[in-house]
Amino acid sequence: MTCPRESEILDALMTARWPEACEDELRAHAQSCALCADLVLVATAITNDVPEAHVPTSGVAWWRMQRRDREEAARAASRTITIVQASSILAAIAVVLTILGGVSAMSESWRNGIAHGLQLLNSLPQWGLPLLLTLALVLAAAPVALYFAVRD
Amino acid sequence: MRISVDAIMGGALTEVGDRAGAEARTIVLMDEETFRAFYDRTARSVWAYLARMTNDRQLADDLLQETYYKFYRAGAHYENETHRRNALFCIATNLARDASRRRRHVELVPLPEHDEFTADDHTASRAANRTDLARAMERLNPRQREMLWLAYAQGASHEEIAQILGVKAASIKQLLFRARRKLAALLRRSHA
Repeated sequence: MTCPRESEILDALMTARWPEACEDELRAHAQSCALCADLVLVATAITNDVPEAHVPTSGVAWWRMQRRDREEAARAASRTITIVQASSILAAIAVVLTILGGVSAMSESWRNGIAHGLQLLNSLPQWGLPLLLTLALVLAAAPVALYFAVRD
Repeated sequence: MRISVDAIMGGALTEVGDRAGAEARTIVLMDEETFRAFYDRTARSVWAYLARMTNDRQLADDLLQETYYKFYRAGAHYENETHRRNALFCIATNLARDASRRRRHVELVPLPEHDEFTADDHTASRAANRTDLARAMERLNPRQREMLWLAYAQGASHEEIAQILGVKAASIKQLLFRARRKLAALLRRSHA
């Protein structure tokens, strides 16, 4: 599966000594050995295929990296803020729902109280209702009358 | 399959954040001078690798920046230059694989060189050879392409290829042999 001269040929290929700067004997071996012939064919094709690189300078690369670093940091910070805001909104919704639940339970008891009061009114004698209305009117008017009486 | 860069680092990370017994790791980022020197030594070969693996110059430009950013953010300390270089190529390999998966089908056509607009006989024959290689490479699986490129364009050793591609070092010889035999047969067929 491997030829003992493979590394020798590969070294010549990688250091651009192949084929001119190599011994005739090594070249003859590469032609006669199937493994080395494969190696020469593949390695030559690949090394000739290396595309010409036009890369940014190291200064530009460093600057872009620093800018990206700052952007990532800002994004991470805004993510934290978003999470805190979302948590606050959820907590507020939970509080509102709890309060509404409590109010609803309270209003249930109020409704029951009112219904009970109406029942009592129905059970009052004939003169009871005008008496109650008069009493309510006095209770409502009394503070107003008191205010005017003691004013200045 | 994604390759773990941590595995490549092999415990070579600088552990300086060990506070009160906690296994906290403080990231030590590379300083500008070291980064720029390393970039100058490696950027062209990383770009060539990315360009060949993705077969897209524009994408290779983007992935090059991404590769160095991820490498920089890893904030690791490496035993030596080879170790550091292998980690860089490992990141590049993962990014190229991800990009290829996103594009689903990568049609391998030869990358046009800037000087091919003024094609003489030599450049025309070189372009034809590159077309043959590109078509032959298309018939290989991504790992075979990566392996052959690392071995014959980058001159990476079997151990280095194993580290970069996340393959057992013992199986590299066999895998590389198969890939090479397959590519050689395809090239001969296209030349015939």
